[in-house]
Amino acid sequence: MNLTLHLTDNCNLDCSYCIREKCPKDMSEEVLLKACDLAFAQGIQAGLCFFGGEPLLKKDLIYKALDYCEKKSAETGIRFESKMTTNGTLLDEEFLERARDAKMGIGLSFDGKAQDICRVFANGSPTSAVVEEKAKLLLKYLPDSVALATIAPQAVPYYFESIKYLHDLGFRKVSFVIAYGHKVNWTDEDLDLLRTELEKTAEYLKELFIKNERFYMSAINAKISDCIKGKNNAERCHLGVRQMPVTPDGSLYPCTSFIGDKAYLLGDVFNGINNEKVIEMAKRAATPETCLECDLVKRCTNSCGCANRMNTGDENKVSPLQCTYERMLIEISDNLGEELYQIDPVRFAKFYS
Amino acid sequence: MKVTPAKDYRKPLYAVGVAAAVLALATTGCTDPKPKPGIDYAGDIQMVSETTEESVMELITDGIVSSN
Repeated sequence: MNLTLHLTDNCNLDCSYCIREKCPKDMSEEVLLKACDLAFAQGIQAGLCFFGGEPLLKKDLIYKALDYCEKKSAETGIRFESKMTTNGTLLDEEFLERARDAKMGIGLSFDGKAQDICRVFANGSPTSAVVEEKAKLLLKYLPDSVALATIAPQAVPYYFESIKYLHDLGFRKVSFVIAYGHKVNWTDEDLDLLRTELEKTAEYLKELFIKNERFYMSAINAKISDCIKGKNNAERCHLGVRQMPVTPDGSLYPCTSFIGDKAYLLGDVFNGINNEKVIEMAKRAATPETCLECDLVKRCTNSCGCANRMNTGDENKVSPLQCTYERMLIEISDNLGEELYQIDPVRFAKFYS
Repeated sequence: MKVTPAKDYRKPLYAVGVAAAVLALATTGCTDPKPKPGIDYAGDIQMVSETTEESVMELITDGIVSSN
């Protein structure tokens, strides 16, 4: 099974939109190894995503987990895969060599040209220069790494510029999501500007397509690909089914945004998963009432319980922000899809299906 | 900003066209049947990996109804 390991609740950054409370809790080696055992206990694949806080504050635990899981994979024949989401400031060549050996996927949280607006060190100093250098180092070792940008309202004017910047830096895959939760305050004006920025982005993706250059920009590409495949990867929130977070003390929850809410506790690494509760939660997950009559119900993230909970406090209630953004994104993605399909249907199918 | 159900939506032509082409390839056995890896980047809801065969099996075993 797949687990997200919160190796520590500490972080060396103080990002303005972060919803996690920083505290000095670190995962013990005992919890770490129990979590690894749990990942191997179900299914024919074991997946770990190292997360935090900032996971690179606990490099020793990552090395231990990789050594342990690689050995276990060789003994059992169960496939092992690892990923990490990091702010990148603590990346170094020694770590990247080990990550490359382990075929680890690395997602670098990097807001591009808007980096210093929200992502600053704990002492308030800017991070962009450091992270840019680390991004170059990362791409040298692991060229398929992904840049993960979170767009807060104040970063919207830099949206397209950031995509171009990250692409120029060498990223072939970027993921841009808008910041949700109580720490951000979106207005209609922000969303109007976001539309303009998304349209500029679509135009840029068209230029790259004409030049036969592959570049994956998740917000738009995923909408097009999912529409072709007739599915929606974000249709149902993970809610502990596809990937489960493990807190530093070994507790299991359905998703990061639920951590700390005892009503959603799904067990722990010592006693295992409370399967009855997982099933009960999955049964409770429903399409929001306001979305039942919507033609786009199967194409948007309306039933991602984590996003809903962050925005409305209710896992089954969609927010006006999410609805407005999703409708905009689907419209712009479809317009781009139609254009690219007309330009070269064969290449389009190759790129997007 | 408000929750507004969309109406009169039609599946885009690109999706209809490519899906038909992919189906034609699949029936001739020209597509890769192997599922892609299945772990996602934490903190990201869009860079989602494909659901693996084994996670589908787990769902069935656990009796959890999911559209993934």
